[in-house]
Amino acid sequence: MKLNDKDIAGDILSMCKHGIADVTKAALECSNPRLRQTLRQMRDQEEQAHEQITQMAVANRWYLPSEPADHRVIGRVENYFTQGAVPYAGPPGVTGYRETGPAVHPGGWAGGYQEPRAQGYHEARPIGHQEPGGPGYHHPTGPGYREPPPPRP
Amino acid sequence: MTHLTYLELESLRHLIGECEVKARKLEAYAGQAESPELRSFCRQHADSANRSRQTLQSFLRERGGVQ
Repeated sequence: MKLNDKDIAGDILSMCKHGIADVTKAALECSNPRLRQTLRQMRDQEEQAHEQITQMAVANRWYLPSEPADHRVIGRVENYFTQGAVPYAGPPGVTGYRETGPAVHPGGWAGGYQEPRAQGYHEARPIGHQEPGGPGYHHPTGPGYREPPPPRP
Repeated sequence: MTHLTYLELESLRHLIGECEVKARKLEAYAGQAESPELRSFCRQHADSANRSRQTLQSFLRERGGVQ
């Protein structure tokens, strides 16, 4: 099977990344100063090669780089680390939600949803989650599902 | 004589094998790639991987370790 340029560039990118990790690990574990120096030089060369092939792959559209993150999502992560909590407004029109839910994961899940009736209860919900009774709603009762704890008195 | 630990010997064994495969793959890619820029990169880095392999093998030739 003949590989095209995209396949080749992808494999080289992968080889470079693994090579850098392997050489870095070996250098860290090395006690022989001359060998350590050699490994560090190899790592520097490997990093330059990785940069070169990355630029070439992006320029030729052989590789799709990650897009810049939305500034609101960055802000939520920053808040999480500076304040220990991320503002969460809760579903529209519903009051009483604690503003402690974590940021929505880019994969589409919002964790840490706080039920006002059961303090401390956490359940991950996908974006576009519908409340019970709504069209297309399926209660999560698959393997591994645990009923939420009863409300505290 | 250079001293080599077992951990260093294992690293050398692993890295020399990696360099060998990498050099062969890059040589093969240099013959397959359509882009002249990519072909040139592959040739250049296949040589580099071969040189790295030789450098690492030189540590084994010194036969560092317990006599």
